[in-house]
Amino acid sequence: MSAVPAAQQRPKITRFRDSWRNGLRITSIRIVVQTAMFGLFLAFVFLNTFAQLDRLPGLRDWLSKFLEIDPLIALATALTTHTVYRGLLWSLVLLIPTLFLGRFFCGWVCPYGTLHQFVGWLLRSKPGKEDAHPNRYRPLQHVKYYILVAMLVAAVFGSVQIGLLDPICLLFRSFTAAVVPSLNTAAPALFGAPRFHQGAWLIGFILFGLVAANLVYPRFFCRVLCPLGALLGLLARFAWWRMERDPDTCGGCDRCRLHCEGACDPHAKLRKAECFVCFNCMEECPENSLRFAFFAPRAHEVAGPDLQRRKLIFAGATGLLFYPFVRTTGRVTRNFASSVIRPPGATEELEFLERCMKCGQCMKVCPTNVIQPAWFESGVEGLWTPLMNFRIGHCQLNCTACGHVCPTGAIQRLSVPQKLGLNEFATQGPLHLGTAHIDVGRCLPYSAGIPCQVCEEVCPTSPKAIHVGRRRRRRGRGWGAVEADDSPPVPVVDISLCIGCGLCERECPVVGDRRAIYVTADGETRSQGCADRDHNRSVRLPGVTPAGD
Amino acid sequence: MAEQNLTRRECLVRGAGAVLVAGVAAAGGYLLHDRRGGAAFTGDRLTDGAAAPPGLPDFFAQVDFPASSPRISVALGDEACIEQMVRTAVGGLDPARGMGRFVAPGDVVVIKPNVGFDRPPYLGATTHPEVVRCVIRLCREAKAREVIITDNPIEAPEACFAKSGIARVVAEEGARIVVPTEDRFEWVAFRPHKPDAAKGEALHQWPLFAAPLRRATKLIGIAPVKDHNLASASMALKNWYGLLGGRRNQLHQAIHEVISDLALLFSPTLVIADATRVMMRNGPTGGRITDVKPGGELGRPAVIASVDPVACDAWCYQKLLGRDPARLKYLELASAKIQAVAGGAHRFGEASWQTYERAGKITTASV
Amino acid sequence: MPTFFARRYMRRVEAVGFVEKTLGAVILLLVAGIVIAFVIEVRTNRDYLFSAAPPAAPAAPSAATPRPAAPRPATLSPATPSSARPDATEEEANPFPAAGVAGWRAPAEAEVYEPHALYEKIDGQADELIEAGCTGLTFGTYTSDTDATDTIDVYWYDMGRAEAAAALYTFEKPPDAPWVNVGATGYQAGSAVFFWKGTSYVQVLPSRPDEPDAAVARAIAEQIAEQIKE
Repeated sequence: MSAVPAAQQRPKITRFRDSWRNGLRITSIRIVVQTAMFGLFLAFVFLNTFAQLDRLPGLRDWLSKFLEIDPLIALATALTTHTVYRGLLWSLVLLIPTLFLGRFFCGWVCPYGTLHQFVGWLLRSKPGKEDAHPNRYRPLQHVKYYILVAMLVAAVFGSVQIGLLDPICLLFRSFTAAVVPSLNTAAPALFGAPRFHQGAWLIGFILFGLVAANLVYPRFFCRVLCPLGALLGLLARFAWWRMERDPDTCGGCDRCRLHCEGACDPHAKLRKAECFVCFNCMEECPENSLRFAFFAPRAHEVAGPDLQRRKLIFAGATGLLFYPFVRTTGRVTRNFASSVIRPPGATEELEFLERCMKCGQCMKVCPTNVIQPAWFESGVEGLWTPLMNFRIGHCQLNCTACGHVCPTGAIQRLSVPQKLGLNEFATQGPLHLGTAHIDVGRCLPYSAGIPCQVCEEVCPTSPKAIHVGRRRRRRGRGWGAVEADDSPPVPVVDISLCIGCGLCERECPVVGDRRAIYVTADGETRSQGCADRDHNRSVRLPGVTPAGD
Repeated sequence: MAEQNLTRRECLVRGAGAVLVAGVAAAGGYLLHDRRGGAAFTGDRLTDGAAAPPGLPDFFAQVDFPASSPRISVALGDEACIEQMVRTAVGGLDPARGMGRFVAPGDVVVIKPNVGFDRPPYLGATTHPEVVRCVIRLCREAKAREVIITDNPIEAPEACFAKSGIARVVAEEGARIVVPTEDRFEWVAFRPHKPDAAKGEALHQWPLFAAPLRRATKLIGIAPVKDHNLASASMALKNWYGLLGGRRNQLHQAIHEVISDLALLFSPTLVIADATRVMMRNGPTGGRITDVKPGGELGRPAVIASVDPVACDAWCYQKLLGRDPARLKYLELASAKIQAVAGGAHRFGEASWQTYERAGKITTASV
Repeated sequence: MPTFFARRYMRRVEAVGFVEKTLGAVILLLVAGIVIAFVIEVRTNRDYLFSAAPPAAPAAPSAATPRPAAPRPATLSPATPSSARPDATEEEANPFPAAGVAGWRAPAEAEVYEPHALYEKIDGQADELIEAGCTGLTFGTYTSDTDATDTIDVYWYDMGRAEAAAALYTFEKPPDAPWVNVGATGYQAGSAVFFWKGTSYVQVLPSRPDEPDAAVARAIAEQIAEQIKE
C-alpha cells in the first residue's frame, strides 16, 4: 500500500526555496496564518501590562480578544449569568463561520493548537520513517465531548469550570503564571524582574505535560481533552463545506493520514467533528482525490461524534453532582474564608464564580503582582481564580487595569473615580476590598514597645485610615507611680476609612507569611447586601460609622 | 457519481441547519448582550438605581381612627383576669366598637408576639400566652377570616413557641402559627436611598420574615415590656426586630438607629404592651424570677393598647420601667422619622406621652 | 530534515488551482487587516484610563499613590516628597526668592513636608518638632554656579505660632554663638545661619564650613527673612 507509482513520479521538494516558489498553496497560507495568530497571542501576552495599558489605552479592547472570540466562554457564562458580557459577542465571529466551514479554528487560529502542532512537528519521529498510525481515529477522542457536557451541566447550576481546560484560558493562564515568569527569571534584563504566582509549578507542569504528550499521542490535548474543540466539532455537523475524498480516483494509499492533524479519517468516511480543516491530506494526496467540497455527499461522512447515551448521562450526572458536592461545603456562603479578597470591581462571590474563567489576564496586567491564582481558599471551584495576596503586592489607588482586561466581567470595568469614590461617585464612597486589622501580639509598638509606624506612614487614603494613638502607661510602683506617656505611639485602624488596599500589610516590617497588620475581606463592598455572606459586613454597617456613638 | 447521494431535500435541510443555528446564536447573543458591562455589578446592592425590593404595606391605613379618640389605653388588673384586661385595654381606644374599630370582617390578621427566647412564660421574656389568646378571640369576634401568629425567634422556632406556651393557646384557639423558613424571607426596602448616618438612618434593605405579612391585611404587635441591655428597653417598637432575618446581631452596632428604622417601616394596626410581668433587669433574656415584677413600677399587672407605638413605648418606659423616655434615643429618632416621612398624616409618632396626657388621650381603667 | 514549509511530497504546482490561490490571498489580506486594525486602533485610541484620571477633588487621595512601575512605593523615596500638601499651588510650593544670590542658583523646586511626613526628612527629630507645634517644613537647596558640589540647604520650618518658633530657636542656640542681624534674631555657627521670624524658624546649612559659603548663607538668610511677615 505504501509504494504507489504515482507518488514516485512527483517532484521531490526539500528546500524552502522550492516550496516558496510553489506559491499560494493553502497549507502554506495556513502556516502563515497560524504564525500570525500565535504572534498576535504573544503580543497580547506581552502587551498585557499596566504600563502598556496606560500608554496605549486602546489595548484594553484587544488584549482579551482571543478569549472573547471563544464561543465556549460566551456559552458557559450565558448559561450561568444569562448575559453575554461586553466583548463576548465577538464569539459569533468564530461561531458562525464554524457552522459553514467546520473546525477551522483548531487548525488555523488557536494558538494552543499551533503550539501543539509545532511541537508535534519538532518531536516527530525519524523524518524518513512515515507512519500514519498515530493519526488514526481513536474512540478516546470522545472524551472531550463528555468533558464538555459535564462542564456545561455544571455551568447551568452556576459553576463555571470550563476555564480549567478551555485552550485559550489554559494557555493565557500558563503564560501568565509559568512561561513569562520563567523568561523573567532567565533574562531579567530583557523581560523585567520575575513575578511570583502561587502554585505556578502546577500550572507550568500541566502545560509542559500536555505539550509533551505530543511525543506519544500527536495533538493529544486537541483531539482528546479540548472542550472548545468538542463544541466546535458539534457545530461542524452543519458545515456546508468539508474535505471530500473521491472514492473513484482514490488509490487507497493512506498517505492522507500521514500528516492528518485531527485524526479524522480522511482516507475513509470523514469524521466532520474531528477535522481541523488543515488541508494536509489534500496536499499529501498523490491522486488529487481530496478537495474541499461544497455540500459533499452525506454517505461519505460521519456527521457527528457517535456518543454513547450511557456515557453522556454519566457525564451529565458528573456535572449535576459537581454542583451540590462543591457548594454544600459552604465555602462560598456561610463558611466563607476571610482570606478570599478579590480584585477591585469583582462581583459578589456567587456571581464571581459564575463568571471567572481562571484565564489569569488580571494577574498578568496587575502592576504590583498582588493578584494571585488561588488554591482552594474559596473551595474547589475557586482553583486559579484571582485572589489578592498583600504579602506580594498591594492594590494601587489609581489602577483598575484588572477590570479592563477581564473578558467575562467577573471583575467589572471601573473607572478610577468610581473605585476611589470621587466626583459623581462621591456619595457611593470608595470601593472597599476589605479591612486591615492589627495583630497586637506581633505589632512592634503594641507587643514590644518598639517604635514603628510604617503602616501609618504608607497608608494612602486621605484622610489616613491608620492613625497613631498613644497609650498611657504607669511608670514606677507604689507611691512613686506616675502616669507617663513614654510608650511609643501605636497604630490604630479606622475601619470606616480603610479600603483594604493592603499597602500596610505589604510594608509591615514584621515579616513572614503573616504580618502584624493584615487585610481580610471583612467589610468588602462587593458582599454588601448579600444575605449568604453578610458576615463580611460585620464591621461596616451601611450608613453607620461604628466608631460613632 | 457520489454527488447523486445528496438530494435536493438533503441540501435544503443541511443548508438550513447551519443558518438556523447561526441565527439562534446571533439572536441569543444579541438579546443577552450586556453592552454596558457593569450593569450587572450588583456587588453593592445599596447603589442607588439598583432594582429596589418593595417595602411593607401600611396596616394602619385601613383604620378609620377618630382624631378625638384616646391613643393609649391602659387596663390594670391581675393575672387571674388577663382576658378582661385585654378587652378593657382595647375597648378603651373605642368603647363602642372595641376591636371592631381595627379588624374588619374578612381581614387576615397577623399577630406578632415576642417569642424570642426559649423560656417559660413566668420569666417574662416572652409575651404572656393568655394575652395572645385573648387577642385571637377579639379578632375572631371581629370576624377576621384568618388569624396568623408569627415570629422569628433567636432559638429554634418550634421550641420557642412551645416553651412560651403560645403554641398551646394558638392550637386551642384554632389559629395558625407560621414559623420562619428560608423561603419566607425576602429583601425589604427600608428607604429608597442610601441611609444617611447623620440623620440616624441605618438600614437601606434587609432580609425580613415578610411572607406572612404579604398575605395580611392587619398587623397587631403584642410586646412584653422588658429591660434590654443594649437598647435599654424592649417594648412595642423593639418587637418588630423579631421579624428581621439575616445576621441581625450585626445591627446591634446601631441599635437605636435600627429600632427607629423599624418604627418607620412598620405601621401596625394596633400595638399591645403586655405588662403582666415586666422584666426589670438582666434583659432581654432574664432568667431569674427575681428580675420579674408584675406591672413593673406600677405595682399592678397591666395591659396597654395603643395606636401610637412610639408614645406607647414612652409611657411604658416611664411608668413601668421607671426610666426617663427623654433619654431613650430611639424614641426621639422614631418620632422624627415618622413625622418626616408620614408628614404628620394618619400615622402617629409622638415621643412624649405627656403630650397625650395633657390632651386627654390616655385612658386608664381598672379591672 | 525537511523545513516546516516543505514536505517530502507535494502536489504539483499545476494542481494548485485558481480558487485556492485567490482564497489564500484573501485570507492573507484578512489576517494582515486584523493586524493593521489592531495596530491602528491601539495607536489612535487616546481615551486615558489611569494617568489622567484622578482629578483634584477634595476627597482625592494624597499624592502618596505609588507610581505604577516603581518597585517600591514612592512614599519612601525622598526625591518626591510624597506627602506634599495636596492644596499647595505652584507658588506656595516654592517660596524661595527666585532672584537668589549672585553666583548661586535658587532651588528650582521646594520639597514640602506635612508634620506626619516629617520623618521622611528629619527622621529622628520629627517627633520633637511635632511636639513643639511644627506645622510644616519647606526644604530647598541652593547650588553654586561654579561648583555643583557646593550647595546650601535651607530648612524652613513653620512652627504655627511665633512663641514656638522662638522657643525652638532658643532651645537649639549654643550659648556662645555669634549674633547676626537676620529676621527677629539669628546667629551663625560655623558657616551655618539660624534665625527666627514670625512663625518661621529657618536653618541655612552650607556644605562647606568656611567663609565664602558663610557669607552666601547670610545673604540667603537675609533674603528669606525679607519674605517672612512678622
